[in-house]
This record gives sequence, structure tokens and C-alpha cells, in this order.
Amino acid sequence: MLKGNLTCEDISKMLLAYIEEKLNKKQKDNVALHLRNCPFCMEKYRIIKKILDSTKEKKIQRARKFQQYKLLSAYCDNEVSLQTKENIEASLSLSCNLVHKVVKINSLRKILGETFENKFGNLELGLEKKIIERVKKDNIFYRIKALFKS
Amino acid sequence: MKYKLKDNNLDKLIELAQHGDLEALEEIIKRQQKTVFATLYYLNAKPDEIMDLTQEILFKVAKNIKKLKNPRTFKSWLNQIIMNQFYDTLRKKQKSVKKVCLDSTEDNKATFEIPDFASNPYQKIADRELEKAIKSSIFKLPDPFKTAIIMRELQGLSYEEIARATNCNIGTVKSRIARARLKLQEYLKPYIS
Repeated sequence: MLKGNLTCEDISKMLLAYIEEKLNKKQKDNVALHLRNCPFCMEKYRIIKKILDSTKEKKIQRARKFQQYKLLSAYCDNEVSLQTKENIEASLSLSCNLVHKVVKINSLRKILGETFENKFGNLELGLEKKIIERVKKDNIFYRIKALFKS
Repeated sequence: MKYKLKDNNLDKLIELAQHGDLEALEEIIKRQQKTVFATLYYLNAKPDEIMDLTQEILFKVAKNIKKLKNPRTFKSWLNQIIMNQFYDTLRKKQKSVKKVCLDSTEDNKATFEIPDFASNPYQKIADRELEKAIKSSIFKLPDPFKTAIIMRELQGLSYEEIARATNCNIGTVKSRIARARLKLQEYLKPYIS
């Protein structure tokens, strides 16, 4: 069907670019003209637009959620400014959900910390003497000194 | 001993070592060896190579300590050496190596045990299971997340120190640590109350 100077086939090729605003002014006007006159393409446009909008919205929400988590994570490490810390603490007093997230981060930190401590707390490697010996052997100054001693 | 080395803080020891004091250098190595060893363990170095790598890294530290300009950046510097040495050996191996089945090496790794000293036998088993779960979870993380979380949780480095060690900005460190934590929370869900 020819509405304006574009066929429906042209439109289906250009629709995505139209929604993402990647067309030039003239192409854009042509597509808009066609859409106004063709209910079939208009319906197609609505469906695609809806899907894209919802995924975009989901992406934004995910990013927002991560930003929040990032702040809480830095807060647990005491790596936020005093102002941010106060803001976070004010939000924490209002939201169980946030408190729950902080508790989770802290319990992860706790099990990691305890496990590392259990695993390596009592480990004795005793490498220091060996290394110093190697340094001495490697260093010409100490080698000469040793030579004079002997 | 001329001075009480044990009571000296790291900055002071480094300063002494940089002026050629071998006792101070020895004390630094004594304090840092466990960190290096544990870091390599969680970076998943091969069990039989961890000890050699640890020695190599500590030797580099001892040899080059005079080149360290600011003693306060010691931890970042140490980590740069650890990472460089670790990835160097990996690269060298990749060049020369015969191909090995990943699954079978996984088993080998699992049999590598460091003695633990928990008293209660039930607790011991639970701890061991958790430890294995943690190790394999950390192993699954992408490299930048892995190194960031190891430096933070195992070594207790500040974000600034991690940023310096990994040559990126603090914002990046912040999100790497957060991403690593999110993933670890997911992997370790059964263990987190």
C-alpha cells in the first residue's frame, strides 16, 4: 500500500530506526505521514514501541537498583562521604527492604571474613629467612661482605 | 635486636628496609607472606605452584623495596606485583602448555587442603564445605571482580588502595565490588542467613 511515498514494506524496514530516532528529518516526516494514513502500520508501530519501552524501563530500573546496591555496598565498607552516610542511615530507618539488603551484604562479609580467618589464621609459612638469604645472595654488596668475613 | 621490630608499624618498617635494614625487611616479609599465599589461593593458582609463586613475589618485594617511593602505597604496590607475577606465569603456561581438561583439574584443586584448626568436628565439616563453596564462587567471578573482592575482603584494602593497585578509579572499584558481592550472594545463597 502506498501512503505518502513509502510502501508498507518500506515502513516495516524503517520502523525500528524511526522509534530509535535514527532517521533524518525527511525520512522521519515520510514515515510519520504514512503512519497517520495507514492503521495497519500504526498498529505495528504501537506494538513495537510498547515492547521497546518496557525493556528500556526494565533496564533503567535494573540500573537504578544496582546504583542503590552499590551505595549500600560502599556504605558497608565505610567508603562513603559523611553526607551520603547520613542520607543512607536516614533511608535505612524508613525502609525494611534496605535494612534487609545491608544485613545480607554484612552477612556475606562475615562468612567470607570468618572463612579466610579459619583457613589462613594459623598458617605458618616461615619464608622470611629463605627470602632474606636469597636477597643476600643476589646482592653484590652482601656477597663481597661475606667474602671478606671468610 | 636494636629496636622492637614487632611494635613498629608497616610504614616505619618499610622506611627502615629501604635504608638497607635486613631485619626490618624480614619482618615485612614475615607479615606479608600469608596475604600473598592466600591471595594466590583464591586467584586459583595451581596448588603445587602457590608456594613457588609466593616466594617469587616476596623475593621481588624484598629486592625492589627501595624503588617504592611512598611507603603508604605499599599494599597497592604489593598487589601489583602479585597480579603481574600471577598473570605472567599464566601467560607463559598458556604458550607452552599441553591442553588439559578443565573438569579434571577442578578435582585436583579440590583435593588441595590446608590444615584447619577448628575444634568441633561437625563445625569442621561445615566450615570445609563453606570454604569450598566460597572458593569455587570466587573462581567463577570475572577477573576484575575477583581481584577487587579479594583485595577488599581478604586483605582489607581500602577502595583507594584497590584503585591504585588495579590502575582504575574509585568509582570503578565501587561497582566492581558491588557486582562481585551481588554474584557471591547469589552463588552462596544457602549459606547466607
